[in-house]
Amino acid sequence: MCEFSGRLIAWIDGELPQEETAAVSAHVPWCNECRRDAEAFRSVSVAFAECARTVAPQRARRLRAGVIAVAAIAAAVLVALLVMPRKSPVLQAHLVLPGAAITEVPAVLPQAPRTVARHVKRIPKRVPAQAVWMPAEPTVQIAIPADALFPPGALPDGINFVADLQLAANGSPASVALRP
Amino acid sequence: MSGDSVPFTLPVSAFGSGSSEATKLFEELRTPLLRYLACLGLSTDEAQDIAQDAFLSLHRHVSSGGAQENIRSWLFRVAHNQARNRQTSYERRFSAPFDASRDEIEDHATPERKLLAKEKARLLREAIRELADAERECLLLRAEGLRYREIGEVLGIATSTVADTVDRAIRKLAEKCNV
Repeated sequence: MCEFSGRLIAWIDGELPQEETAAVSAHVPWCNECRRDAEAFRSVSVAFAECARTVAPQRARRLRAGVIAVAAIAAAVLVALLVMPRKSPVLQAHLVLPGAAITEVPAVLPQAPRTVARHVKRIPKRVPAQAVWMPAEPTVQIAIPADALFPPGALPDGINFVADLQLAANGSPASVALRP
Repeated sequence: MSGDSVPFTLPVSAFGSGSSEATKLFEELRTPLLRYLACLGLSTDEAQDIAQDAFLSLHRHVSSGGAQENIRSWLFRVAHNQARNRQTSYERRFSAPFDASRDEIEDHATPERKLLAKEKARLLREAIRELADAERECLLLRAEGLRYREIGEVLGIATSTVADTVDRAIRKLAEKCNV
């Protein structure tokens, strides 16, 4: 092994004292072994730097995309939860109200947007009817007063109720129920 | 990478509110710092938290009359130590900071060259993962343009130890990748 070999990497990095730098610089062009090694060390240093440089932004982009996806799902679930009481047959079955009053309510409500309606249709299917009132382990419970759910004048006078939303640990609606 | 580093020494006035020097410093060091933290295995959010804390600490340090030499290694050291603290407190391992799922080969290369480059990249990532933590950290800081002296300040080791560690790590990578 060449006597200069041990100093090649520090030489490449410009970390040798001035005299040593000059000595190695004068030697390398004439030594096949050192020239080959120096080239290998340089190229692996560049490859390492490229690897480090490309890792971070990609990781960041993917993570950001993941966060956006989670936020979008959370927003969709929230919108669906807020709109659901207007449409869901499951909920209407649980309304402790005269039948006539229930059928009148949807007629005066504005139409929900198409994208929201898709979520609204799906969610009740995943919630078994038996689980609506007594979920096993609800983690979040939200009570929404009727006047926050319906536009003013949409409900006949004298009718008041509160919507109970219970979210499971995974964020899915474990149960939605209206009570007077 | 091996070019002479500019000493990051600033007058106190550079940290006045809204000063352009402070903004310039922030912009110059923020990306390398975030990249280093991400390569240590931190998530983007964690890296941004730590980088922000480190810049705030730097601001307090300089505002209260602290030393203004070696700003770059000061900043990296604070961030590095915070990252290490999180590792301890959350019992996380920084063992696999390099993602093996990436594919950085250019589109215009021939299939054979693509395959060869892909294989080389895979070998390199494998070799990087097999490095000791200190070796990987030295190389990451070196890749961000820090001098051996600065790397020693960040990691709390002697400059001669940095030289030995970098030398050992580069030889390991070169040998494993058969470059």
